[in-house]
Amino acid sequence: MIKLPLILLAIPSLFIGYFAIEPMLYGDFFKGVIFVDSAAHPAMHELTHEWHEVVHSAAGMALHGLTSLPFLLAFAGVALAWFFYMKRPDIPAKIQIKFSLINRVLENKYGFDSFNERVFAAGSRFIGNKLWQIGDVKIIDGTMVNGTARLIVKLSGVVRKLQTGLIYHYAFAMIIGVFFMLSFYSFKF
Amino acid sequence: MVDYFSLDYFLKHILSFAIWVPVLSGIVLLFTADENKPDNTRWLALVGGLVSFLVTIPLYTHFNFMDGGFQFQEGFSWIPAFNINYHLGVDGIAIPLILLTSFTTVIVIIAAWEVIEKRVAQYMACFLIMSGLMIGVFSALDAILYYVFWEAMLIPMFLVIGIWGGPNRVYATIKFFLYTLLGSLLMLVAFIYLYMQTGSFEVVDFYKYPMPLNVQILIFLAFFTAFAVKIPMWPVHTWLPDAHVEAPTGGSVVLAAIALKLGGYSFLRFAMPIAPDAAHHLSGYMIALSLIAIVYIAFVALVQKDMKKLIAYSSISHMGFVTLGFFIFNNLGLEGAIVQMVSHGFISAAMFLCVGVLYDRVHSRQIESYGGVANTMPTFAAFAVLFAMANSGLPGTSGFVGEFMVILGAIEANFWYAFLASFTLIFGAAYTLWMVKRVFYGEIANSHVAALKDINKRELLILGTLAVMVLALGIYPQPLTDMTNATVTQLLSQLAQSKLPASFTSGL
Repeated sequence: MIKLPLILLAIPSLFIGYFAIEPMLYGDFFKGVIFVDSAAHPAMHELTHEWHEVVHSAAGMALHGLTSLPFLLAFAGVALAWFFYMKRPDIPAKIQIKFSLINRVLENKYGFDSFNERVFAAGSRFIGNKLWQIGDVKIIDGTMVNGTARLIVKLSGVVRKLQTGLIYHYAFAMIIGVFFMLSFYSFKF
Repeated sequence: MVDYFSLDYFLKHILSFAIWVPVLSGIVLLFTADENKPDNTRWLALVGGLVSFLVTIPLYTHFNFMDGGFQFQEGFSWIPAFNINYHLGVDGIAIPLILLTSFTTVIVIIAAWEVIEKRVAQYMACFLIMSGLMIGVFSALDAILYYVFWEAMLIPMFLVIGIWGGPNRVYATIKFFLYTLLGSLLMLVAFIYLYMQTGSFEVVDFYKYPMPLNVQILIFLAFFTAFAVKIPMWPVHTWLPDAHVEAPTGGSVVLAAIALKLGGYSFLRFAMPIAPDAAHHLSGYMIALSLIAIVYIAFVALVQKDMKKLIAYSSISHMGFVTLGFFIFNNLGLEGAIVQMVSHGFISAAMFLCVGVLYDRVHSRQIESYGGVANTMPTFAAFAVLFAMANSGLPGTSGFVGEFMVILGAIEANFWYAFLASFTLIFGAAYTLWMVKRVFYGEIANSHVAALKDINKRELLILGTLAVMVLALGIYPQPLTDMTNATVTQLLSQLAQSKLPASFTSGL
């Protein structure tokens, strides 16, 4: 499934690279558009120098790539892997037994995944739950919002007791009130 | 002789049209609807919604982008005895929100099509009337007119949650109503004080009136209680998750997309320009509350088990970004906050509609009732994942633009503000994507999920439209920022001028 698109992508890459590398990277294609300060960033200058002095062309660069150290090292890796896993799988099996501790550490990816899961993920969920259940539910909703409602209920429970239904209680309260108001009025002014 | 059918007349009174066309179509709907023919009602509501949306479009096409002041002004004396005027006018901050309102109303009407079966006319009418009232809030330039729209808007929302809501709807509606009313009353006191001092309810007169710092602080705090509840800011946010959980899908959409923005907008229209010195003086507290909202609420959102509650908490966290942008007092922060408001309008609407799509089929909002929905509803899953990405602020979606601008603005103000604010990008991704993973991916969890049918054409239409908006605003936000630019610049220079009286006397 995935092979065909990859092949289809590889073909134009090859052509574009072959024809575009010289004008784009070492030629005048980006002249006046992209300015490279050779003093601050000498890498491009070095590469241009190498292009003109050593490899000369795209094909030359490809050949040069095949003979340089990185390619040889990568190839050696492939060869070693082929030898270990296709030809002599008993050797890596022995290594695995001999260095079981290192093997375990590597297989668990140094334990970073489980550390993240246990510390960051679980920790965030723990903090989130506490902030929600204690901060939102208990303190804000429980104490402040519903607490205000409960306070009003309590207050009105007390005030309700003043409503005795006896006329002389009300009359007496009014007389006291009038007394205070009159004394306030006469002393203030 | 006035030619009532001329373009000129229309443009002169466009804000009145924007407010009263939806309100009147709602009223017409209430009186003409036949309970036995719900389809006629639905079509009539859709026509009303579409016409209401169309009349707001000239606000964009006929807007003068160079002018940061109030445009499309109109008015007459309403209650001469108290110098109260019917005075409307909008600037570059109000118009995007008005367009968002009329647009969202159309979406809500289509979203309710087959879902609402009882009292269709009343439901549709509530949303149409609410749309008009909210546009009124965004365009009123007289404090009392504004206050009337602000409070009147609560009634249809109260009805929507109280009638079409979930099992615990009575608790949620009362909580929502009392919370918002309590704050608003202090705002009314502030308006009356300002009227006693200036002899006018005109917002522009309030702007000009100089006040000593202690008076400004009291005025600011009175406004703050009203707007902080509406936004909502921590710690007065607990009404929102409850209201969202109980509200029908349409109610949640309007609540998240627009009602929250009323609070944000009002900070910019009233609290900050009327008491600029107090706004600067208290900005530290405002920023602290915003950062607490962003971080604290993000943690709380992470552990929610109910999808609607999760999105509600995510909304609070995102609105923390908006208030942060306001109170760092720079161009990027303020403009970013406005972009964030509009973008959050689209994204939260889409997220709540996605939950609605699932709820209509399975009748559960619990995350644990789902799993592997992507297997049975692939098209829907694609949309849901897009909106989830937008909610977590992925570049290319509108969610990124606002957050990025606010973070940039915050760095200008203080590195640590930006550091804490960027928490939301991490946590936003964590809680949104974790929810998406549990709901959409994995094995098919149960027989309900196995029996799910993918979205129909109606749902495709609304989710598709919102997806286009989210991407368009994410890729090319310039039409929006062009609109707000002049107003933001003017507002910031207004905020930079002290309104303390020349002879510094304190006292009420």
